[in-house]
Amino acid sequence: MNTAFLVTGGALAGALAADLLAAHELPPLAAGERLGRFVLVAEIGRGGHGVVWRGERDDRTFAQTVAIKVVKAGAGLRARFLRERAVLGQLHHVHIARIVDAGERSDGLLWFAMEHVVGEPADRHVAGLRDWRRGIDVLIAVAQAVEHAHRHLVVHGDLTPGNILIAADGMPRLLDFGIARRLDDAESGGDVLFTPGYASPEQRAGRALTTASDVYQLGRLVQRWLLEGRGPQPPRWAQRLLAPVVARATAAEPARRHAEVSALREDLALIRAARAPRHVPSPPSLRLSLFLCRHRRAALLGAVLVALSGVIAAQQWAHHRYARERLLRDARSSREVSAFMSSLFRAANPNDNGGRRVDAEEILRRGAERIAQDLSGQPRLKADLSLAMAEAYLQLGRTEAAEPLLLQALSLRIDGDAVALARTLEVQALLRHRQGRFGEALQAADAGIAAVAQSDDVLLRADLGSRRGNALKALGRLDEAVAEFDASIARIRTAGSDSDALARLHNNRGLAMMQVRRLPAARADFEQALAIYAQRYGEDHPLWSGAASNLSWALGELRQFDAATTLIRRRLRISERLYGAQSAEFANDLNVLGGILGDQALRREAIAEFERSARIWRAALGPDHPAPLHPLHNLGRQRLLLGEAQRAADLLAEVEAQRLRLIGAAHADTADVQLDLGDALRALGRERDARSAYARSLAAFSAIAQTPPQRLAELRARLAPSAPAAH
Amino acid sequence: MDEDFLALLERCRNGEAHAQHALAALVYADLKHIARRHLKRGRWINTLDTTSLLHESYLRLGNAAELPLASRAHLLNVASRAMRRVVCDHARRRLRRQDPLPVLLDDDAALFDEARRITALDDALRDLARVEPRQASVVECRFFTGLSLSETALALDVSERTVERDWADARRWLAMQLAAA
Repeated sequence: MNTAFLVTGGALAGALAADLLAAHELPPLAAGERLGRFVLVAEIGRGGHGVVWRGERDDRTFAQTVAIKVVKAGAGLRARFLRERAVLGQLHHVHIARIVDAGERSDGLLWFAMEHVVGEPADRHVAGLRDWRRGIDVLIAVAQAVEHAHRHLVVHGDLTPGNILIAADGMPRLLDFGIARRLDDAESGGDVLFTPGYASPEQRAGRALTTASDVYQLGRLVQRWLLEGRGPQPPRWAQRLLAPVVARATAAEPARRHAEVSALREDLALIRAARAPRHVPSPPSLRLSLFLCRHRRAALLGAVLVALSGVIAAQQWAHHRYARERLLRDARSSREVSAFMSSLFRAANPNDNGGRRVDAEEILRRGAERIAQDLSGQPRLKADLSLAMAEAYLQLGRTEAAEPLLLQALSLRIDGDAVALARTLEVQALLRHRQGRFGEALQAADAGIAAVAQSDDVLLRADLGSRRGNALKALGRLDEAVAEFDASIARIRTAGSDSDALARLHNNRGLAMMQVRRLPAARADFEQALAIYAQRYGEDHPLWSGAASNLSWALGELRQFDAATTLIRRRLRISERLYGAQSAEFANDLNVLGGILGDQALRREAIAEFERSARIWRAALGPDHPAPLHPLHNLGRQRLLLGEAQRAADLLAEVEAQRLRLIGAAHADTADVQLDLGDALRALGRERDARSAYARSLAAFSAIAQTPPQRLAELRARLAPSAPAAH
Repeated sequence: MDEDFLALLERCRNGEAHAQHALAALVYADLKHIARRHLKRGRWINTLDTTSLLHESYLRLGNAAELPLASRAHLLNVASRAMRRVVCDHARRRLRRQDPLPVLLDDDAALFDEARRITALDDALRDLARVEPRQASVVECRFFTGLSLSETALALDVSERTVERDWADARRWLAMQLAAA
């Protein structure tokens, strides 16, 4: 190999630098050319990003007409394209034109083949409608499609009448997701292309697209079709209700808009049903009539239970269908349970609290008192209710209140049926885990699995699998944990169940994958969990947002900062509302946020979040729980990266000591902090101490089966005799 | 951010290894960011203009003219290291990507040749840095960043004659290494 290329600036003049920087031009295409399985028939559209061709499938399988969007992608975009393709492949929604295939030609030309929708342009269709409510239906359908995309972290960014076709069924198909931006796209600079009159202010200013941009554009569509006379005219009262909704959705400042597309959609649906929108102030007269309506319905016992679960959804345990199913399991006790619950409900009197935010703690406290007093002759009912209450307390983060109720339930189950016992043990495993007593959590899960072995309760077995896997993970037995999750997921899939339990398993396996740094696998697991929760409960439900927190962690580690930040900030709002700003959950989310900031080298900001997280977490869980050590460890890392080696070393040494005390030496977390401590000591020139820390870390990592090999290599390099005194 | 940057620069001058590392990370992120922005606007059609790129980095510091000479030297130094990373990372990514494509066009072939050359050079430079670290730094400044003799001398705090000599020696040594590879 000659070195003629070794000239001043040589690296900057060649093909490689050009490839690094230049955007490829779109090569000319002609009818009859093939792209993948398709033959191009005719060009049907052209835009700034590329051209659209009508194509026919040509692989002798079956006839299929597609719209093929051909885009030019500069060098370096290929990886992003492949990622995007994977996600667009997941957008299966009745109101989104489906991606059929996608590919790349050897010259770098990228293409998408989409379902070819035969339909009417949305503007023309809406103009021909007579009932304004049909217009709202179209808008709601579009909003649902956009929500679906947002759940997959895709922002459409160009929601204009021209990108919506109304198919023969009268419902819309959203086109052009091929140019949409992924929220986790690292290159967040504003896209240049937009449609005048529909672009949000932030788009026009060239700033990054967010979900708020789609809210804006949907608002513009509502305005265009229902308030500007281009579609059917709603009655005066509906216009009065729609106007503030449009005003909010199209606010110049993204933060003032509806927080989510679902909120805007909800407002539209309420107005369609002649009710006041929830996300904008509405006239007092309407509020009063709605209040009366609620009051009348609450008089019916059946409705009381529904209302109760609705109320408590806001407080985080409506998803505990187990609790409710158990309560309603047999007719004999369900009457008593209904009476019991409704009495609690009446006592808490939601209407005095504005109708929505009943104090769940108050309900639970009364419940626990009544269980003790009134149910002494009915052990099974007493156990059921105690367990339900214990679960509810756990969901509220109140382990100390949950414990006596749970022990009471356990003592009543000794001779009961095996499934009920297993269910109780499952909750006990959760309780012990929350208390940081992982060995006992594992015992409880194992006992539960033994109890449920003879039954065919797949979901319960899956939940016990989750608990067992989590306990193993917390104990540092990662390979066993992953094996348990794999087996449980396989079992539940065989049973064909698409349930909370499956979502939990994916979520938990994702966490284990994070620990062994298998980031794409973790991300896939979190996305699975998120999709299940979104489908079952909608977004912003506590379960959804919990999985979202984990996904944003994974995205941050994968350096997809935009998406990660958007998700975690949304999750922080939810967890503050649900658990309060002093809760362990909130602290956990702050820790994730700090990590994402730190990865972007926003060190001061990261440090502030870590400090806050550690303080809140410690106050919430007490001195003997290992979780608050995570933000402290991260804090030490950031100080080290800032060059504050002494402060870093002090912090990291403290974390090491605490971890040795609480989780022992043979744990990846302990080994991790020892490695960082070594770095800090080396930076201080304390070479002997540094080597000692590295040696401790190496010993611990070597003992853990799932340690990634590069970790060990890293450590050996640091311990090599020639290793630099400061790296 | 900018305050951090200046503080880091200051600590670099005091010889703090960690600050050096952190500063390189900052500049690296900067260069990538700026390069992407230019790419997006469709400017910079065929050459990577390091001088204007560094100029933008200077702008972050406020008044570049008032920046002490030693700080400018450090910035050049650190930027050169970052440039090497930008280019070599890209080359490696390109090579990794090559496998799934069975047919290569002519342009691609040239590209992959260069990518292979650059990664081989990167590896050889690593070896060189062990025995002659300054020579390796000179290659970073000259080849990867396009710095002139005098800028390189400033960046490495040596005389221009030394730079000339190192540059010649390094090229000879690298020629041998790359021929053997």
